[in-house]
Amino acid sequence: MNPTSTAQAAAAQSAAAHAPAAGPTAAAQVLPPPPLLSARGLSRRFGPGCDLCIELTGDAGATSRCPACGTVVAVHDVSFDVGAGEVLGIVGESGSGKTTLLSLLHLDTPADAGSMVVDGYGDLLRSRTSDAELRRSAVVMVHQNSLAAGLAPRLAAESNVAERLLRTGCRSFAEARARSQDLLAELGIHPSRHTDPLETFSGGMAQRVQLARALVNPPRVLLLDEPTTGLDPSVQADLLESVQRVTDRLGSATVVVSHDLEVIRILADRVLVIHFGRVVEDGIPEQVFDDPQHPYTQLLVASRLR
Amino acid sequence: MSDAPTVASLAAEHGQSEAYAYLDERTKRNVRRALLKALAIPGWQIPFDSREMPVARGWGSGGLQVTLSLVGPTDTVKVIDQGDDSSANASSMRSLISRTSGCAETTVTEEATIIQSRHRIPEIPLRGDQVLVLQVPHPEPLRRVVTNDAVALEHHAERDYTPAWLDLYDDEARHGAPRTGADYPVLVEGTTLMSPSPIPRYDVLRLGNRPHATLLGAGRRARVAALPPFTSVEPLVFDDRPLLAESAAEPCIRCGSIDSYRVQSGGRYQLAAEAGNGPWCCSDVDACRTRRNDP
Repeated sequence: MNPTSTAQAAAAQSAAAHAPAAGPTAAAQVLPPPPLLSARGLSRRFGPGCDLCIELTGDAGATSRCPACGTVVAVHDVSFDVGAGEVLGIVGESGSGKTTLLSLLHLDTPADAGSMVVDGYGDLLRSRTSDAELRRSAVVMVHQNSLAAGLAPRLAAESNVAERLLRTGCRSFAEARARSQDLLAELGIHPSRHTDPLETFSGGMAQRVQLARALVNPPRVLLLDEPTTGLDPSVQADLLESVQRVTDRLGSATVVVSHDLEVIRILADRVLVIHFGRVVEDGIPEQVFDDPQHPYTQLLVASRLR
Repeated sequence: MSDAPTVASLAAEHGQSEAYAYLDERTKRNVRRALLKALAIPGWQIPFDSREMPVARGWGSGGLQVTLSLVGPTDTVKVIDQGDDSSANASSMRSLISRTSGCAETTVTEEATIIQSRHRIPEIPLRGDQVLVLQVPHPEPLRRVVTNDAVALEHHAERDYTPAWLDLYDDEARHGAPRTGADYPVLVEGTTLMSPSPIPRYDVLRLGNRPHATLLGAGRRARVAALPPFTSVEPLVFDDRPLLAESAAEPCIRCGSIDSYRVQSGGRYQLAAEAGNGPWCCSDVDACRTRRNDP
């Protein structure tokens, strides 16, 4: 599938969703709600760049590094929409640009081009609100490693969760505690462990604490970076089930990045396959994994079966 | 030109040279400039050129520099240490101040124009013409929760005190109450977090909206801070968890007060065998004496 046409199709779909009703027939139709997250033409290169970068990279050159100038085209012209309660899965091999895309969405890395409109916040890439402020309420990331997420190992699990509430001005201890403990319990942490220091938690439980912290102030967009890496299969399944339940209830737009196609199959409503920084295929998981069109996706699916 | 007397003219009248009160004029001007800035931004820590003093750093060198920069020969100075005028440290500093500046010294709160204090605020209400100088060991209120000074400064600049709130939340969640006894952090004018020096919680609740200026000096960390008269000072507490003052088991054995800040006699120096068994008495010796004389 041509990624440019994917972008155009998505843009046209979005425009149709936002267009005013033209007549009685149109008014009778139920228009889909506008997407919570609408990314258009997101691009990011690392290097000086030249006129040949786009032409010589991607499928054409079978590389993301421009042979002419050495620039890495990490992400090129990526567009997608994610609605409320919807989960978008992103798969690709190491170095394909998944993490860069996620860091663009989390405003950790500035984008060279494109826009990222979040419902109620406008285009985050051009927002006058500080990135730190936007990361508190508009886009929240659950990192692969709970320590990289800035969790405090010496503090109680519930304190780590409540931190997000305190940061946004909650000054009632009872309210902060009730919300933190409810979410921890919902994510499967037994109440007797809520006040234990986080350093005494296993990897899977720390990941749940991180997830609870991300969700305690329900964000518009939830970004999950390899949420189950390093966890054993039973814990993975349990965690994924918790993620599904809570994101369904809160109605955030979720973007999940994973190597593990099974994780994507369980969680995602739609899948983007990224290769050399470009979207090479997208669709619902069954369609992409059962009937892959792009050679890379076919290879990916075949490797999983081997 | 104003006819208002200057420290120099007052000193001359009393037969003293201009450079008196231990510090040279340049140092005193530097401290005064820092204090003016501190008064302009209540609660904000202002750096100054802290000098070597004849007391060890951490023993009141900051408070001493503030007092010596303010004192004139017509002043009356009182120095207290944990409410007591007669501790070795308090008497030594009072003597140093009065002998190098020619000012009068007192132990009576009402008579003093400058009151330098370690870890207490006098219980007799101060007037607008008095100045309270507090000795501060650690001026950075985020010290316990943010170890990097540069990061702490960013938190102050953004008025983002989440680490302090988080520490408080963790204490409440795990211990049921804040673990911070003395030196409880306060919000000045609802915006700036400040260390009030290690005064008890009883005094933290009496820090705000006072008619007098409060100046805080930290010699070791070379910082001053100030609370102008009638500044709002609130302890950092959750809306549903008010800060409670310390309670004493018994009334003062000397004056019978039940609402003063009381400690068990012997204090920190008491013998271990007597710990918890001594009689309770007022920490503020002058206030206790006043109550006894005028019950």
